[in-house]
Amino acid sequence: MYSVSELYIPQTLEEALAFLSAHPDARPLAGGTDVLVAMRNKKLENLRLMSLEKLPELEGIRLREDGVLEIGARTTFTQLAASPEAAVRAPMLRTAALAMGGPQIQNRATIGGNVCNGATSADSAPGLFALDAVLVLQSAAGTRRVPITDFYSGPGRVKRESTELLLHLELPPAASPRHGDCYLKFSTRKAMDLALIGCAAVCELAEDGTVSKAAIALGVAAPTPVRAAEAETFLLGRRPTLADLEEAGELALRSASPRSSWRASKEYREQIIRTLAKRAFRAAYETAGGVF
Amino acid sequence: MHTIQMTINGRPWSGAVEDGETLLETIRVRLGLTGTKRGCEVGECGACTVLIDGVPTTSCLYLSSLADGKSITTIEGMAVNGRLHPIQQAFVDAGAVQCGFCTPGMILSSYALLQRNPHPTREEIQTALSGNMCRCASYEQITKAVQMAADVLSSLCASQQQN
Amino acid sequence: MTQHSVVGVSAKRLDAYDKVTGRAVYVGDMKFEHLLQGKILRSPYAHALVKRIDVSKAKALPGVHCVLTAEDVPHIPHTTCGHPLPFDSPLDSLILETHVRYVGDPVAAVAAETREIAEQALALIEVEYEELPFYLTPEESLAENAMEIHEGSGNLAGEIVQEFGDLEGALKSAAFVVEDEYDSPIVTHAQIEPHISVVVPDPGTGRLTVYVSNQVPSIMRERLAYILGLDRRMIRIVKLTVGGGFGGKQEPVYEQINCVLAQACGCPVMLELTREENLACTRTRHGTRFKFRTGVDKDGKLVARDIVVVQNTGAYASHGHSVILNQFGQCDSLYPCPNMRFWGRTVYSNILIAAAMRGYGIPQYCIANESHMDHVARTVGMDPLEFRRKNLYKLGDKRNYAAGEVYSCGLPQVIDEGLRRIGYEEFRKNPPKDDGPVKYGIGMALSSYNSCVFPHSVELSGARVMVQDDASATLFINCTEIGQGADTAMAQIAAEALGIPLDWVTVVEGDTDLCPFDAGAYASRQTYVTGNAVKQAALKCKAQLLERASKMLERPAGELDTRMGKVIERETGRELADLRKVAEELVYHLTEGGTCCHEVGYIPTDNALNYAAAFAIVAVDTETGKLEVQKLVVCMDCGVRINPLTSAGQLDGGSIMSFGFSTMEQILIDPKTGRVHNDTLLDYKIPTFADIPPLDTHFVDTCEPTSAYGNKSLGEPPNISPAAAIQNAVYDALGIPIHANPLTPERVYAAIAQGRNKEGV
Repeated sequence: MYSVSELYIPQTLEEALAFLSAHPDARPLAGGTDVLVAMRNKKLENLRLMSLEKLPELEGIRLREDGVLEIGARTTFTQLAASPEAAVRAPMLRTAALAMGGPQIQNRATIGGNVCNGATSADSAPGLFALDAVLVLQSAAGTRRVPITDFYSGPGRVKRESTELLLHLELPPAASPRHGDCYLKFSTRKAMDLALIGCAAVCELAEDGTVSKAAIALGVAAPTPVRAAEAETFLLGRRPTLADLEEAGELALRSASPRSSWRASKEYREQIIRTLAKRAFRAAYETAGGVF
Repeated sequence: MHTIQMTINGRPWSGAVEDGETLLETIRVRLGLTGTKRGCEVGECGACTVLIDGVPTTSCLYLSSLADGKSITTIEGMAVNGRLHPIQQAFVDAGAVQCGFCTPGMILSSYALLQRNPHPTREEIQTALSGNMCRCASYEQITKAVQMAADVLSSLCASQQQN
Repeated sequence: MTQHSVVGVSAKRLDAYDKVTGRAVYVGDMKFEHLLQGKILRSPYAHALVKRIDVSKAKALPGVHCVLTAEDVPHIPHTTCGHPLPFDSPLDSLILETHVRYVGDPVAAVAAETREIAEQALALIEVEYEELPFYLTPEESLAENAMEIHEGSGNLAGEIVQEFGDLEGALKSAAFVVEDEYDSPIVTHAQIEPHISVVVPDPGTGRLTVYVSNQVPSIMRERLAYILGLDRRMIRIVKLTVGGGFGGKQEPVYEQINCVLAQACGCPVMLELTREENLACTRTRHGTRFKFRTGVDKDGKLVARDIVVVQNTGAYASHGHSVILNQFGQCDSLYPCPNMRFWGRTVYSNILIAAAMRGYGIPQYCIANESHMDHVARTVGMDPLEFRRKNLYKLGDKRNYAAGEVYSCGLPQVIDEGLRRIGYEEFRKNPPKDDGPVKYGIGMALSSYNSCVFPHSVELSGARVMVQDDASATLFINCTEIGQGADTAMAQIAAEALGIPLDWVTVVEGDTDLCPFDAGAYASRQTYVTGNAVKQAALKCKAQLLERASKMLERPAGELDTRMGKVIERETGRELADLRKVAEELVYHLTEGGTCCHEVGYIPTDNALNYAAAFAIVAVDTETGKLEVQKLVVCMDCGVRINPLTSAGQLDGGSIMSFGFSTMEQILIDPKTGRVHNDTLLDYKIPTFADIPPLDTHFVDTCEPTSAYGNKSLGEPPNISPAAAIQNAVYDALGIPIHANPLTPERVYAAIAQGRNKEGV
């Protein structure tokens, strides 16, 4: 029995937004795989919950005519992994979805919940960061669009106003037909585990084969997911050599500030960051058609 | 409190549940179906797995109020008139049961897998069951049981089509 | 070997139907009209004195039936250790404490109408603690000015020193002396069913029926009565289906607290631990440090062995020192050596309690010793296989210490079979080339394991066989079924001995009102000890049946036998009569009718050894330290398998558990507070389905003459050598010995980085 003061189940988006306006303390409940666990651990108590279970506006994955892929906030990781549209746009989203927890968790956990929970270890975050996802939030007052890279404000904290709901995420189309991506999760187990470090990379190639977009995003490397800006700048415009990748791995560390914890030391996390950044970008580059 | 109507193992059930009540509690306490096990209550062990509209779900992380209108399958819904489902029979025959605490959840996850993928590879079985922990580590025997059940189910299916 | 009809057959488990349908009743599934829920208030400090405790607010909470503190409960110093009498561990424990010795030590207990109310009540108990200095490791506890965790103990819960031959002399004359230190982690059972009990007091007599998830019902009865200060007749233990034991339920853990709650409330109380309590506040395998000094002559023959063991038993001794004694028992069973010293100490500290866990000291001894053996081999310049063969025990070899004679030894077979299956020679001839940063290695390890605790401890197992008027039989035992398949194996033994089909046997087990004494499920002893008791009791029944058959058939009983429900001619196997008719006549004979029920209490006079060999091939990513076990081969000599199907479950499951021990499992404790960091199954990592390595297991055939049907121990042995084989494969891949497990990526990477620094690369 969870310590719930009220569970409200709105049937329409209007009802949901009105409830949030009236009850700023209310916590949206998507799959519940983070919120309920936090309640059990007494990190949250006597909570007013608002279930998103019945809101069709938050469901579905759609490829819009402008090439933007819209992913409903209530899309479960199982749905994301099964989506042909997502697989075409960014195969690493499937990798990330299947890397998360286990099947039962993937069946309940949602991409919107994963993002709004604000964890730096969220398996979906590095990919969404590297793909420059934009979040569409709505409140009774209106709609707001926020790049995901601006959304996280600290460990477990995001810039969702208490009256807002995350409706969906937008992934802009790739700028080049020659593009590739890769998500690498480093964890002890192959299932039911948290990322010790997560790393996503996106590579787009210009017609001449040089890198026209390099994105490397890291989870658990800092209090929030981060992009490895210096590594990206270094790779941009190059036809990278293996030595360049080593260099990019080193540069990725400059965007990272991993902590020592009982789960792993700072030094070891740094080694994993440099290794994953190098390997993820290499895989993305090769998928895009790049050769060494 | 929410009043919900759901189907449990093919039978309708309606009643009032607390706002913070989990489906695990409703199943075990209100319905008295104790085949669904409580192992961790945070969705990590998989012992409380049930099928909600056919989808394996850890019932400890599911609020009962949300089950309104859903169809729930627990381990008690697998055998028909005391006759074991082919997956249950395969677990018996393959020696896939030791202490048995993970077994109900494991069988339900296997059932969902074979529904969507009648001929899973060894790797697909391992992935599909990776949210069900077995400390006796009967993993080899469970893999074999799922393969045996897949064969039985597909031959049943084939003979039904012939008729 | 005679052909058996039921033994050696892959019979389905007796409890399989109930377990696959959800009908099997675990303690948590019991239903009572008014069942209260118990909860325990635990110390937040690693070491402290309770200065003041105020339970008035908790007691006043509606729905709370009782709140108990140390002053409300019996104060009888005891050990929880689940061994038969006499006590072999310090009497250092109390039901509830005012001197708390680890984070989680019980201070108070509550029974309330719901779990939620009980939890609220815990929060209302006010406790004032005076913190004391705390020690998390033996080094800290044994430091010169360390405070005593238990008065008068010197922080030592036990010590053993045994010397044979002339150790120092032999070390001096040895061609090589190799020294190693090895750290084995604290790991825990993590049964998927957390510890649970229901205690039902009889309102008229006060007698307690204790429904348990436990491995040792007979011992539990004796121990609970002692702890509670009751006559033993006032306790009945009923063991229900057990959702995993692995040694962690081989003693009262919190059943005694539940008993005092039920006594105080006068009604049934359930005490179910949470997952977090199961991981952080029950029992563990001892964290252990080994120090080895080993001398070998120029030919690679062992001449001297010095083995120093220090194990961390935590806040209370529990099984404590017996675990080290078990290590001593196996310390030269594989590689005999004339000059030896074994010095073991069991040390208190302010962490959770270490006790029995599958293998009882041998998994940690094996991984340390086998990795040391590889180090010795490489120092001498020998292949680890060649070195082992040179020093291997052979039937008839003298050992310094032995619990019994060795009559069956499949060591050569398990090694040869394993070598073939892993492809050892091919790997050595053509080792795989490095794949970028990935290096490959192969490793092996051997193990031996007892089949009971003879001659160290009372080894009594009782069995009663009751043959009915249709020749079906009911078997009463307390040995006990905890998932390993003991009931099925015992039923097979009874059926074989009686000469009836397996489905004519019903097993009643785990009830101290109904079944005779049995020391219980530990030491892999059941088929070896209880198996003999069952066989002998069944043979007595059979003799009675044949006596009746002899009269019916007018032939001497000596010419008759039974098989699968028939009376047969012993010589020819020809069927002569239906055994059911014989049983019917035995009961209903007008003047000579009688019952057919025999009980045997059996005590072994030997202790057979199980042997196993494990081999592993690993790939190590040298940039991350991540290792992948590409193949794990485990070959075992457990004598005759009573049930090949369930035996395979033990071997495969134990091997995978051992894989977890070598690669991922460890309880981590915060050095600042003494708290367990990883008390969830997310952070205490046991292997999931996705993690298991490609596994190839095999049994070799031997026949042990001292057991019922040629069988030897099986439950624990698979959980020993695989971890050590993986450890040695990583050593082989990297050329660097890593003196600790688990081989987490970080630990492996640190070793690689350190190795690079040494080489100056």
